[in-house]
Amino acid sequence: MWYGLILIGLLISQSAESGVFEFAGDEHGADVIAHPTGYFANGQTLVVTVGIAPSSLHAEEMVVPVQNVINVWNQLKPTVNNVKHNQISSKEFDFESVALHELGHCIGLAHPNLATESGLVGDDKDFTKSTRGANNRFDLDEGVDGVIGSGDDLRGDDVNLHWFAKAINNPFVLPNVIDKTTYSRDIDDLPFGDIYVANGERHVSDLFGVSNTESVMQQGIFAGETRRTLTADDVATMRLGMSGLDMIAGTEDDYDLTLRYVGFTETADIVFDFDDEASFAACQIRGVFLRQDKNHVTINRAQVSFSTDFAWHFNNEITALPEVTDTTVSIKVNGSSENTTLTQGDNLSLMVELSPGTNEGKQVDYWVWVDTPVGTFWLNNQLQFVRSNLPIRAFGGPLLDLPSFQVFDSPVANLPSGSYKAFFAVDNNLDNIIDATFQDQVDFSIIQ
Amino acid sequence: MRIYSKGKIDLTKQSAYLYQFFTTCYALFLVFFSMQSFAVQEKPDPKTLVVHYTEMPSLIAGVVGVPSLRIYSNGYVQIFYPDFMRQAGHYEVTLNQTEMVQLHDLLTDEQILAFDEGDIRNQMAVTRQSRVNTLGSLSNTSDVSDITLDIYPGQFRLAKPEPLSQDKSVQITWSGLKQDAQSYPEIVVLQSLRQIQQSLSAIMVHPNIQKVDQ
Repeated sequence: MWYGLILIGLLISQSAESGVFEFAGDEHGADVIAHPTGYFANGQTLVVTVGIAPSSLHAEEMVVPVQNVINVWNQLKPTVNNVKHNQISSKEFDFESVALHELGHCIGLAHPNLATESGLVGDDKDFTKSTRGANNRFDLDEGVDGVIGSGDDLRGDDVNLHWFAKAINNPFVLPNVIDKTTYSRDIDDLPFGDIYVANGERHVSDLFGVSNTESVMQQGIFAGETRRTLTADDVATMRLGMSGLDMIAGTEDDYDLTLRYVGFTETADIVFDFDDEASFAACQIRGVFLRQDKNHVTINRAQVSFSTDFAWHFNNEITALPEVTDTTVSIKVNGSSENTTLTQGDNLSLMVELSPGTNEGKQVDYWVWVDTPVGTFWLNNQLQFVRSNLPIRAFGGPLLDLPSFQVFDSPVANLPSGSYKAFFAVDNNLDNIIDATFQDQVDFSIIQ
Repeated sequence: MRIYSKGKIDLTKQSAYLYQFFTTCYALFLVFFSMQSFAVQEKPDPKTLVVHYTEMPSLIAGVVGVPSLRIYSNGYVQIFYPDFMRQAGHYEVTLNQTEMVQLHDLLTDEQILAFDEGDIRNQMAVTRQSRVNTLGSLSNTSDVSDITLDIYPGQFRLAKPEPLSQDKSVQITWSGLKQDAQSYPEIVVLQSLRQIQQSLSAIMVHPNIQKVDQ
């Protein structure tokens, strides 16, 4: 059954593309993955605090947009058509859009494009992030389509740094499964016909039929423009990091990220400040290699600086958040949630239902067990009920929408008489330790 | 005396207009020359440029104007801030001899004129690797600014006994100078470049700058 769940996930998913991590490159290695503050390779929910420097210029004006960008990163919702030109004056820069970009840097994401750190200027900066390769220079040819950053770019020996889906080279759609089984950095894994990795640049989005869409982490924002929501590229990169050290989703080293607004303070993990330390806006980070794996870095310090020299627009409206709905679970006996009595001639069917609410996609543990007259039986990952005094996890993976799913179906004649209690529970984390954060129970009896 | 008197007395309406015309022409002549001298200040000979400095934040897309500074050999300074900056507009100021001498000394520093980006980057890489090995720490700053500095050392015209620098021009570009100068205090030339940047930035907010209508 749980393979069914995974299958559902795969069916829902489309291959997608991820981005680039801070510190990846020639110096520390192309495979380096950067993680937010507090990650030490144990599955957990990372809580990273975000504050505003109390003495900062524009401190009050930052309150709403900073909370908005926190919400956007917490929700990790992919969007399209996120580039707008009608919300602010053409002579201003949108603080919220720039803050969203810089906060991405602070939690480990780098530019998907070569950007200015490459030393390049003009449109060449929009080619997909790479190292210079063996010839020690960037090879830059936009290919037949004439679009820089697309899948037909000719990049010579440049070593790609941009994680992409193996099946399809499209940074504007998001799959459910995002880990190294579906993603790669090796261009040999590109789909047939593609030559290089496409990035989430706005002209590339035209090729994929989702115009006016650009990755928030793409370097480059115009005056008068807003870019206040994430794209699939941004979300996928973050979730790839969240698959942990082993880069396999659903394992114990995965993590969730919660950015928490803590108001005016200098001591948050990430502090926003118009301190003129940046010429425009920048995130300064420090990190350490994880002891367990030298390809993984945990950020231990981040500071977002803004310049007061520019005309900034401060959004004063809290972003409309999606309706908050709790995760709900239920388990039914022969379609009923009520106490049921069965006789030997009946059939017993156990069905579970799950509505993930706003937690959809979160990595969690699933548990199903039945207290019987002869002991407790746990549903294992082979879809079999196994007698055990210790909990056995049925599945570890993303919270999915399950309208109805059968976990047991058998004639009652095969079962001993007596009272039964059946449980379905999911946790709010993935650690193979039962928390039963969301739980439902149904009782039934079997009589002769 | 008589004639003069007669002339005054005999002025016709037409000659009065003629008188008015010449008076106006004279006034326009004066205005023209005053504007001419102003225009000279506005558009100095590009050949006398001693330094051109730009600083562009890397996160800003599109070429919509770059904050820039031009300083000419006579001390005249042109400053430009694009529309999206608080100080948007064109400004001017004239530096005094002392300020020009200080600028000359900074811009004609031997290490600056022999600026070797590759060598500096190599030194930085060695230092970074050493820090990773000893401290296990890494650092990075996103979206730094890119500066471009064009120096024409031969254009300085200073009342100094020392010979002028050579005529060649030097272009230096650097991304993230402020951060790199802080991170690599042991690299002297980076400190010198940072000092130049600070001096030029100070000129861009010089207390005597005047806004110029364009």
